[in-house]
Amino acid sequence: MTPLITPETIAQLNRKTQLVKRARLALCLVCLAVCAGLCVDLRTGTAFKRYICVCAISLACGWSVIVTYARVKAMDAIARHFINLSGRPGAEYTGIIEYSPLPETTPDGLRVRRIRVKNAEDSHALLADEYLLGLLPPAGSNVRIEAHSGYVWAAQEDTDA
Amino acid sequence: MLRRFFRLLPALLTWALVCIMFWGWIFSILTNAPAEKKLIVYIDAPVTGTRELAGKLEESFPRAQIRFIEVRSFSYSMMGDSPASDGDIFIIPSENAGEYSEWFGSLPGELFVSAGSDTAPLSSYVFYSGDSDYLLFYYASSVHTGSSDSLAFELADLLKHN
Repeated sequence: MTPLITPETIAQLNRKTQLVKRARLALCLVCLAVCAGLCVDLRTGTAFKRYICVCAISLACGWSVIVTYARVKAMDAIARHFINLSGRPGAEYTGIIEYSPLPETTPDGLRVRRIRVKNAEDSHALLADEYLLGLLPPAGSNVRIEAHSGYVWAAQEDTDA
Repeated sequence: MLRRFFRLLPALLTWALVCIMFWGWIFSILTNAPAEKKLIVYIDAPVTGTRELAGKLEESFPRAQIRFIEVRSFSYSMMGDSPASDGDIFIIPSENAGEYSEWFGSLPGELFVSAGSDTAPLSSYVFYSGDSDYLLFYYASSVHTGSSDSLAFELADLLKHN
């Protein structure tokens, strides 16, 4: 079995989220400093141009924050989903993986797809977001999902093993 | 992608509105200098490119003396919230001079533009009525027409040679 989703995957996602948050904060501080600089030594001849510049900078900064806020919120939700997917601690789900054709939206506003792990005795449904879907093997693959310390990781059986 | 954009649209528009109003308020505070630090010229004629003209005039005055020079047409005081009487220099047609005589005190008006003159100061900014003389007056209570601060006279000289 080759591990597909491990605690390292979650840590990587968390690092990415933190990086985006820090970059956003740095951008806001730089924009604030530039706007403050443009407000110094105003004269009638320059005031209007500077007003336009300050508005444009604030708009661009604010809009990028709004857009990344939505993205970071989704990434936070993804990290939470990995934990939510764990089910009972120590639970193991082995079987064939299937994906529902239609996407769903969670109360967080996260776009997810329902996946099902089926075997002869049992069937277990999970919600997978875009990030998780990118890591999971294609439908019909034999997988094992294990919950370890509150995290979920999935594994695909190696064909050559 | 488009659906996500439309979901964010109200927030993006609200932010645009907040930016315009907030910075408008900040700039109105920053450009509201005391009378000692600004010179205001009122012209009783249509004026264009006032910011450009003000910028040009401001270059002749050090920031420590004068921070703002404003050039306004009389219609500004009708549309805006400041009275025309807050000006330092007035350029008005001779036939209207009587209407404002109480503002000008004892300082006499100076001929600024002669009727029918081919070359007039500020002609690229001001649309003079060709059949009137234009006179330049100083506001009686201006803080820039005293012996210690005669910046209004300096500005008048600049206006005549622009």
